[in-house]
Amino acid sequence: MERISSIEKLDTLRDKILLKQGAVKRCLTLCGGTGCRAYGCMEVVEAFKGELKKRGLARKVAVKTTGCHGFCERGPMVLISPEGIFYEQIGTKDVPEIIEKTLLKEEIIDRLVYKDPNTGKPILKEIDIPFYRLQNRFLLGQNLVIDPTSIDDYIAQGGYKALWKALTQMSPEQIIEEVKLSGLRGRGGGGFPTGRKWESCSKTEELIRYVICNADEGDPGAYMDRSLLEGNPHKILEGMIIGAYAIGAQQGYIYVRNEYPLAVTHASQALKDARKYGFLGENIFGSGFSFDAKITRGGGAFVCGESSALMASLEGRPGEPRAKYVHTVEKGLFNLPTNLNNVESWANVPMIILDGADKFARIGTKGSKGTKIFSLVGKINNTGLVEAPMGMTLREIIFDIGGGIPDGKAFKAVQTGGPSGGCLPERMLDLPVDFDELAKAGSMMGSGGMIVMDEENCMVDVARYFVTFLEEESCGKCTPCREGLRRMKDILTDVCEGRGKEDSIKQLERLSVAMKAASLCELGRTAANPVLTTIQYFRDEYETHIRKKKCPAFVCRQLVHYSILAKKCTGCQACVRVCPANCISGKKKKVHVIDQSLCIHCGSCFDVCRFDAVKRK
Amino acid sequence: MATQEVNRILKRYGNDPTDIIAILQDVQQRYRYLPKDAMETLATKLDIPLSRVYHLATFFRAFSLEPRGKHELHVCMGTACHVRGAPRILEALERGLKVRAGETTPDLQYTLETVNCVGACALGPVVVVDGQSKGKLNPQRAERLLKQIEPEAAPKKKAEKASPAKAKKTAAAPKKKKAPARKAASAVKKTSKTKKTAKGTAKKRTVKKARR
Repeated sequence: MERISSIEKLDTLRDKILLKQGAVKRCLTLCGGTGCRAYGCMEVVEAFKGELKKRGLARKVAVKTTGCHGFCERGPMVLISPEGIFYEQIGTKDVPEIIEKTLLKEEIIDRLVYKDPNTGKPILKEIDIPFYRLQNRFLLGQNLVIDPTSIDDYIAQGGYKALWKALTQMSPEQIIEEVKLSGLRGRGGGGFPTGRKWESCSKTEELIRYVICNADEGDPGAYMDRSLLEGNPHKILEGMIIGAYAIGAQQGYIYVRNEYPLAVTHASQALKDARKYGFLGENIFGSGFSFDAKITRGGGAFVCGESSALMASLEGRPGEPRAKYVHTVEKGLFNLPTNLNNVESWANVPMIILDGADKFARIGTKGSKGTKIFSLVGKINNTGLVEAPMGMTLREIIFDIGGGIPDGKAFKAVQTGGPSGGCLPERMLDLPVDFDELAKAGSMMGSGGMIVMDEENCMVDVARYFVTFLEEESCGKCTPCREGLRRMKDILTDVCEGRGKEDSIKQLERLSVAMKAASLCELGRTAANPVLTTIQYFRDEYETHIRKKKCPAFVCRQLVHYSILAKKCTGCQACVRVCPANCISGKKKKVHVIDQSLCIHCGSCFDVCRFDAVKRK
Repeated sequence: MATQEVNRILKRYGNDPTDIIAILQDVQQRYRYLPKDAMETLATKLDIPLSRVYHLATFFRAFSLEPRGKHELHVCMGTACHVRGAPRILEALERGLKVRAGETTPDLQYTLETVNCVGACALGPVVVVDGQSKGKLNPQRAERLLKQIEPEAAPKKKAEKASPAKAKKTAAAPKKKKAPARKAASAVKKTSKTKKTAKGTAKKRTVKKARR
C-alpha cells in the first residue's frame, strides 16, 4: 500500500476503488453484526459464496459482510443491489432459491419479504421499510455499505477526506470553533459540549496530551457504540485523529469493553490499515502532525465507563473514580491533559468538519443538535438501533419506527439512560428526545439505551433490577454509593417479597437524597434515578406491593400464587413434567394439584398449560 | 509451573506495568483462571506489589482466582433480557447444573456466569455458551440447551489422552448422555421434538468441522 500524503493521492485512490467496485454490477450485502452472527449469518454468507462459486457466478456477484444494519429483529438479512431488494430472516437453506429465483430470474420470493407487523403489508425494498425510512441515518447509514475490515470501502465513501481538510486547510483553533458552532454534545451520557471540552484541554500548559475513545459501553440494553465501532471503525478513528490534532495530542487510546471481541478485532484491523496508508503515524498528510492510537480491552467493570476510572484502568490500576475538582482535561491519564469522548461523539466529528457546522446544527432542537442513536430494545416489535434526529418524540420512536408493542399488549413504560436514567410512563411519550427535556422529566439521555416495557413488567422489580446491578458494580470507594445502594436493594427486595413497610417509599427517597448529594462519581449520584422515577410515576404499584402484598404484573414471585382450576384441568400432565420442584401431583386424565408448601412459584406450569387451567393471583 | 508461560506473555507486552490488565487477561485466557504463582511472577517481574495484582484480579469481572469449567455459560442479565425473563433462565440453569451463578461444577465441566449485556437484545433472553450466543430462550429451552452442550463435549474428550482425572470425566459423561436419549425416545411421536434433535446433530457436525 502506498502512503497517502496528499489530496490528489487520496482522490486517485478513491477513483480506483470505485472503478473496481463498479465493475461488479450486483452485490449481496449481509449484516454481520454481533446480533446477526448470533442468528448464524456467517454460515449464510459462506453458503452464498459456495453456491455462487458452484454456479460460476463468483466474479459477477459480490458478497459483502457489513457491520450492524440496526434492524436486529429481522436478522439474518440480505440486501440485493442494485435493485434494493430486502430479504429477512434467511437461512442457509434459502440460499440456492434466492440465487436461482431472484438473482437469475428476477422473481421475488414472497416468503422472505418483510411484512409490516401491524398492517401485514409486504414491503419489498429496504428504503421503504418504516424502520429505515423514518430515521436520519448519518452515522449508521454507512454501516450498510462498508465492510468494516476494508479501509478501501471507507475511502470509497469519502472517508479520510475530512482528515485531510482538518489537517491541511484548518488550524486547531478553527476546528475547535467549528465543533463548538455545531453544538455537538457528548453522546456518552453527560451531554457536555464537546467543543468546550476540547478547548479547555488544548489550553493546558503541558505539551503531552492524550485523547481517549470511550467504548466501554456498560449500560445493559445498549449496544450502539459497539455497532459503530464494529461496523465503521475508520469513522471513529478519523474523528479521533482530527480531535487529537485540534487538541494537540500525540497518543490516543480506544478503550473497548471486554465483552465485545468483534469490535476489538475490527478496530485493530482499522488501526493497522490506517497506519499503512499513513493516516496514523508520522507526518499525516504532510502536515507535520503525528499521532498514533492503541486499543485496550476493559476488564469488565461498569464503573470504568466513568472517565477517571477508565483512565486509572488504562494506567494499570483498579478502575476506581476520583473526585474531579481538577478535571481530567487538565490532569487525566498519567496526570496529563486528557480528552475523553464517547464513540458516537467521535463518529460525528468527520461529518462536522467536512460538511460544516451549519449543516449539523440545522438538525435537532435548541439545546441538542444532530442525531442520536438509540438502542430500542425490550418489549418492542422492531428491536434494533434507531438513529433519530434530536427532538423526535418518544412516541414516534417507539410506535412509528419501533412498530409498537408485540402481541397486542399495552405499553407501560420506557426506560432511557441505562441504570442512571429513569422510567417514563405513557403520558410522557410526547416528550422530545433532548438532553434537557429528558433531564427535566427525571430521566436522562444517557448513552442511548431505550428499553420498552409492557403490562407484564413490574416497575418495582425493574427498580430493584437496576439497584442490584449498580450495587454489584459500585466500586465501593465512597460510602454513600456503596452503603446506600445496599440499603436500597434490601428495602426493594423486602417490597418485592412482601415484607414492605408503610415507610419503605419514604426511606428510599431519603437515601436517594444522601446518595445524590454525597457520592463521589456519577454512578452513585444518579443511581437513585430509576427508583425515584418509578416512585414518581408508578407509586400505585409500590403501594399495591406494600399494602396488598400483591404484584399486579405477576413478576415478583413471592407474591404470586399458582393453583389449578379443577374445572379446566384435563389431566394432560404437561405441568407435572415441567415442574422443577416436583410439587404437582395427579395421574393422567385426573385433575392435578399443586402442593403449595413445596411450590417455588416459578411459573413453569402456567407457561405450559394450554387449557388456562393454571390460575395465578 | 506457570512461570515460563507468563514470561512469554510478559515479553509480548515489553514488561510494561501499565499493561498489567491486558497481561492478566492473557493469563486468564491461557489457564481459565489466574494461578497464584502466575500472579507472583507478574508482581516480581513488573515490580508492582502483589497486593495490587490481587486487587486487580478481584476488582474486574473478567478474572477468576479459581479454575473455571471447560464450558462457560454466560447468562445475559441486561435490561432487555431481564424484562423478557432472564432471571428465570438463570434459575433454570442453576437448577440444571446444581451450581449458583459465578460457580463451577465440581467436575470442572461448566461455569455458570452472568454478564451485564452482550448486546444481542433482539434475541433476548440470551445465553452465551463458549462464545456462541443462544437466543430466544425460555426456562424449558434453557434446560434443553444444557443437554445439547454435553454431546459436543464428547469429541473433545476423546481427542485428549486419558489421564486419571479425565478418565473420571469420561466415565461420568455416558451417564449424562443417557438422559436426553431417553427423553428423545419418549417423544418420538412428537414431530417438533424430533426436528429439534435433528437440528442438534446438525450443530454437532458443524462443531466437528470447525475443529478440523
